[in-house]
Amino acid sequence: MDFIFEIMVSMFNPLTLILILFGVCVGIFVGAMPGLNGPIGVALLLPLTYGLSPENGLLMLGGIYMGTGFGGSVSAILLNCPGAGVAACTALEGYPLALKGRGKEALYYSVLSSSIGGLVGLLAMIFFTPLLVEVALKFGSAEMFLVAVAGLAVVGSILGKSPSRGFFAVALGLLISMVGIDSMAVGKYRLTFGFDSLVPGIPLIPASVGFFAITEMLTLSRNQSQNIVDVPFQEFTVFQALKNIFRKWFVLAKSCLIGTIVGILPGTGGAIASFVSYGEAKRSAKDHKSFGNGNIEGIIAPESSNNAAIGGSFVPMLALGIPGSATSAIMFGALMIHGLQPGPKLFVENAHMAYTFMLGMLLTVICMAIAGILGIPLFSKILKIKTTYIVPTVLVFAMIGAYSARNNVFDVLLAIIFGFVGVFFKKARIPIAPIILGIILGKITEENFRRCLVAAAAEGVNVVNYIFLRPLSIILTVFVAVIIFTNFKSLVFAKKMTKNDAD
Amino acid sequence: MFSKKMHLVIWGCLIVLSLMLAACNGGAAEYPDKTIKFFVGANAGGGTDILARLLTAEMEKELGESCVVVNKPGAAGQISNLELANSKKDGYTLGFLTDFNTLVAMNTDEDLGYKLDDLEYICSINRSTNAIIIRKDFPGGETFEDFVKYARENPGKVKIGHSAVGQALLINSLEEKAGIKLSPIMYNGGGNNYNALLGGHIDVAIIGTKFSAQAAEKGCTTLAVTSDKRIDILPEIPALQEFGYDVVNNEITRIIVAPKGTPQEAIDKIRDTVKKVTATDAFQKKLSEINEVYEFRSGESLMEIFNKKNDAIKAIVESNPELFKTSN
Repeated sequence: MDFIFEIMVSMFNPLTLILILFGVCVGIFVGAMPGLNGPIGVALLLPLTYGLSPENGLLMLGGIYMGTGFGGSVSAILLNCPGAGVAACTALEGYPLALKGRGKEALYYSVLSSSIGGLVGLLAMIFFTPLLVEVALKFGSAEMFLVAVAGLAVVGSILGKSPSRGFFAVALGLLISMVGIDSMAVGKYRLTFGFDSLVPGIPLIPASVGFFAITEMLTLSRNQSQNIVDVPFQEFTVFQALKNIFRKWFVLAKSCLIGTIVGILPGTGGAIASFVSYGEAKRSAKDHKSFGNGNIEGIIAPESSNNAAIGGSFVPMLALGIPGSATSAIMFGALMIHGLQPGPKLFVENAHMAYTFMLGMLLTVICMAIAGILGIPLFSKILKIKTTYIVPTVLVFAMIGAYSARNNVFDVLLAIIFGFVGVFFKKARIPIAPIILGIILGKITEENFRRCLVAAAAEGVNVVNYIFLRPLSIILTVFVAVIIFTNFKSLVFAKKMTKNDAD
Repeated sequence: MFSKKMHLVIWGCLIVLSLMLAACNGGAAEYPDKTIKFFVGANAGGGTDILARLLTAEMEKELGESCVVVNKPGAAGQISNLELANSKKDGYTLGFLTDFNTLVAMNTDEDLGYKLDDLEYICSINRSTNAIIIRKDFPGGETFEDFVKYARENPGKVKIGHSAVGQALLINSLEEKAGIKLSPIMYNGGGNNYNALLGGHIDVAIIGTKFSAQAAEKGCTTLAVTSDKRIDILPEIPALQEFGYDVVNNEITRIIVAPKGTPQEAIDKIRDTVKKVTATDAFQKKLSEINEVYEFRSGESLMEIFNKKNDAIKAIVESNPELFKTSN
């Protein structure tokens, strides 16, 4: 206990706190910029940590990671430009709120649920790592395939008004995810049409920059009005927001749980967590219809979930020595560069470091909450800027974002193409979010299914038996079935309603 | 008020841009007199990236100019190699080339956009290899011979995880030489492969040697390392060649390369600098902390191994064209 106390004292020194706050602010900025995301932010500041002590360096990077979890929602809510997939669901609910003059309110929900989610994820990591890692190891290819299918089933919740257009969008996303070198075989190319540039595949970032940011800016530039929001802004306090969030405690708790579990699973991340918990929030809500028009549950769920995934993604890193997400992979690298081997041994050989990291991450959440709450009045002023300034600025940052993921000019071209395609889709009323969902989940679904095929053949059983006849699979299958059933029901219901209206 | 801020933003952007342009104008002074870019064909945080960052940090101190890692991930390093081959031949663009991946790509795909001859191979500082690790409670015994025997008796029943094309080639080579049939399952990255091994979802994994020690703590046994000879960090683990199977040498060496035509002066300077900074005990200690085996090679000794590997990989690819040759 003395040991913990000593760490607490050493953590509360001005330099550490300033570095964490700096990291969090960079994280919020990076998260808010279309195309930039956690891995890029952490990689950018990685060289800065060489001159710091490992504790300070790592906590600064942790601050960036935590900050990006919230930052994405700023541009998602205010400009309908979610940085990457993480804030796609937040945009669905947050932007309609912003258009009603309630942007500030939406941002408060976002920062508060992000902070609560972040805390839950970290506390789960601190207290339950040994247990959680046992759960994670139970997830083989069959279970991962079902998790991916659960994610895809969520598409029913983000279809928009027309199911056929929504299904077209998700199918397009899946198709885009298939382009390029077949990751499960050597030297097999798919859908490249002879273009060398397509061989490495189409990554998520240029696609999301194009479909979200560029499309939105092009649409905005055709807007007659000088401003994004024409209605008067409504004032809102952080305490009112807190009260409203705690009224939705059940959604919050569920989303934190989903976020933590998804975060632990290898190869997943905040984006999948936020999609699944958004889908679950919509499924369990009494009034499905208010989703898509600014339902606050639709902000609380994805935002708490994606920050809860951060704590989750550290679990395999600390317990097994393998990173759980793209961002934690770079932090893993940072530890190695400082001569520390992440994994169970860290607690024996560098216990001080390990516990400082765990407790310090809690500080990053507190710093994020403070920076976010103080920053929101400032962020929400973005809506007062004339669109003639916003459009070019966001477009420039979008190009930088598209380029920086792979430092590749081709990605900028891809983003521009997707941007124009997106404008056309908007005219045709094809929803964008399902495309991104398809791109995120396509590879995970396919690869795990193909792993199941090989494993089932090796064990001499039918692949259907292999996937479904497992204890965890049964739970997941029920979950998937319930999501699909509810979506189907609400679709039929919606159809009937429109029919009645027409009559 | 806001347009004023906007002006500031625009000016800021212009200043940054002009600084970037200024940095691009090279003078004729002694090499190096400006920032050196160091390409890494993998994401930040991975093994290649960590090695590059450790190395460039030391090179910076010695050269007195900054040396920046630029990540160009994609297609197992081929994006980075292609761009490097086409970049300015002034000595300010260098990169890591992972030999095994590159040679596999070269032999499976006729048209990568560049040729091996388009690059200048300066030197290499490491060799890393893979381990064959069996899961806890694997019924097929405790030694590599037991494993082969079990696999022979149960054709197609042993699930073997791997995470790279080089490892896929090794499995193919091992199947052929040992007369066994395995069920290979590919994972994204060694971490996921390791996860599957611990969870018992696969029976055996071909995986970086760095996982050997931590796997042992979880009850997994390392049967062999997949190189010609034993390695220093795992002296008690036999090398695959000791069992008489002449499989492809699965060692991975990261070679520092530059575009062909880079001035000899710059190449010599880089080679000497790398040799000097990596020869220190402090640097080698860092290397062993990230489970890399230090070995400096340049010139003939570097190319000899490189060409030998190329021949071995070519033989495997040619003998299994439908499995390995590129198709659209």
